[in-house]
Amino acid sequence: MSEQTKTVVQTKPIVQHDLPWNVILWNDPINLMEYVIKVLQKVFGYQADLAHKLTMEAHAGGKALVATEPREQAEMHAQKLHEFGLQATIQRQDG
Amino acid sequence: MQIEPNSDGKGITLHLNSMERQILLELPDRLETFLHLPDHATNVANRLFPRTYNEDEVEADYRKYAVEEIQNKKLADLQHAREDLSALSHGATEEDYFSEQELVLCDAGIARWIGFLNDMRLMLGTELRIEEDSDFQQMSQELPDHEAVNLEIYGVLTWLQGHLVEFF
Repeated sequence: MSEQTKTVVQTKPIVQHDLPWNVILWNDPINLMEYVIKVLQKVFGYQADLAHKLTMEAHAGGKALVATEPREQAEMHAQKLHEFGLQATIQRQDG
Repeated sequence: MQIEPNSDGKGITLHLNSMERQILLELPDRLETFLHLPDHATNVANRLFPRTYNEDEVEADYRKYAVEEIQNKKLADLQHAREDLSALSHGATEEDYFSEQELVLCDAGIARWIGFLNDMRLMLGTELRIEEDSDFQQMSQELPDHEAVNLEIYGVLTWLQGHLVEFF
């Protein structure tokens, strides 16, 4: 019997309140918006609508909170965003 | 430069003329220099390897292990693109050199090319001080010649990346 892999598509930004580290995406004038949307879908598994909303938020306001999660995961996600050329920082939610 | 989806529905074919191939082959050397210097205090290095933490000490600790992986990914993208371009020139006759050539990319190849193009755009865009409301037409008139050429190249790379993203 083969095991089926289930792909989880996120419809809301990842938020885990127990270990709150924020991943913040910063706007930049070089990355193309369509590219940023695709990267958010690939890195976080976000649905296109959510990725679009977060991208527009960063574009309009200079930054967007793209995930709240344990530190290790936040670091991993920030690293992935950097690999794709996006600018992201992480900080403790209460920091 | 033209892009068309492959008839089997997998990947794309990129049509490049000799000048486009030449531009794409020459730029990676400069990008590679920056990629080998992730902690160099230049605007380009800072943009290619941005900070993760605001606190200097935490950032320094984090970079010890994270930067190498980011660097490896970027260098791998660059190397793949360079090999793709070199393969087009390998064994080419003079006639081939001046004619349009086709580069067939699978899905993984498209992803690598997008990464490579994005890093090149980050390098050029940072050097050119591109801003949100930059007026490219005005910039091309005001920039010194060598920067105006880089702005043209930036435009071509933007066009290409913008089209490849559709297949990403």
